[in-house]
Amino acid sequence: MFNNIREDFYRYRQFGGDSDSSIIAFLKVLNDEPGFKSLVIYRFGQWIVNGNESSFKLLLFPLYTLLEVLVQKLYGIHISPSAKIAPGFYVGHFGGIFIGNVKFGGRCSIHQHVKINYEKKGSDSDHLTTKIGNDVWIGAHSTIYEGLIISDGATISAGSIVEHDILTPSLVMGHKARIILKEYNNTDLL
Amino acid sequence: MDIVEKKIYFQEDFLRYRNCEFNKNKAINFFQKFYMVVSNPGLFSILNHRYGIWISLKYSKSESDFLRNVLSLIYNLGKKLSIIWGKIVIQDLVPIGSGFYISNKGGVIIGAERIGKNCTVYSTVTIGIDRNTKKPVIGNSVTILDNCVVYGGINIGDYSIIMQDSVLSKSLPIGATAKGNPAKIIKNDV
Repeated sequence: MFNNIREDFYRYRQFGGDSDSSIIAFLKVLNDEPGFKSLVIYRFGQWIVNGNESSFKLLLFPLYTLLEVLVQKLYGIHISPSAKIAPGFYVGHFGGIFIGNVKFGGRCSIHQHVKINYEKKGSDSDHLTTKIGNDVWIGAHSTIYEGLIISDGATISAGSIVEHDILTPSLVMGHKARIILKEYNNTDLL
Repeated sequence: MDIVEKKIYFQEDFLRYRNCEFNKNKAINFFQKFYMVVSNPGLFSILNHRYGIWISLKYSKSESDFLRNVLSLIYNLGKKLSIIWGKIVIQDLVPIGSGFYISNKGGVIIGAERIGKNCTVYSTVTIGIDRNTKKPVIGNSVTILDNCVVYGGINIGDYSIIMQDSVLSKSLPIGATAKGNPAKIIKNDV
């Protein structure tokens, strides 16, 4: 849990333009960023769930549930405990964020009003896992439907609605997202 | 577009919100003003933002002033309250013209370069930076409807309207109506 939180903290610190790694800087980021609060609570929940069945950790599960509901009500960020998020995740701003049964790679970024694993209207399938690669940048107000595969290094522009798999590190845009550029370098966005 | 003067517009904001709740041309007393601030989270966050500008104008010279620190602490608490209560964030010291209206439903993030007089912003709107960290300049009497994203170093002309669910990253002339994702101009007269 602590290594993952440290990786996430480095991502947030990088956006603040600060290289301080003291406990005061950590508390400052925790105070300023609602997304980091929800991430810390998510990592805490994973630490509980992944433990032994008969472990004392399960006694902490009600505390985790309470904190999750609190963050969901106060800031509108819901990260489901069934999501698998690699370290180095960044949640920008807050509000209307829904992450369901999703598998994230390392160093991904999402922003406000992003909905991932959103159920497609009229689909009769069970809840499928969305798989998202490393270094994926997802812009504000975009929606990704369930059961899709997004490749490493893909960039999803703001407000796009993704209904099909993205298999190349491309730039994607629009309502019913289309591929604009097949090769797109997003290293300075992340 | 020299719209933003060094002046604090508490009164004009109250007049915009009064037109929604009370009759036009009706004088509002202190208790009605208090009721409006308590019942409208949008009005609360705007007034808090104007209060932050007032602090920076009045106490800019004496840097390490005790009174300034106390006043800005109240301002920061007000920002936290408007995040939790109204889901509204206005970035620090964005110059906003008189008579600004934000929908009380919230989910609004405003990081513009500057905003003109009598603008209206509905719910779930993001105004923010692009990858070169440039911010939009918004003119007078602009209306931004629900679920919009407006980003990049663009100029939005006076009296223009941005319709629902559109993503705008190009400049608009005076009196234009834009719609779609990516947004196109559908009407070009005032």
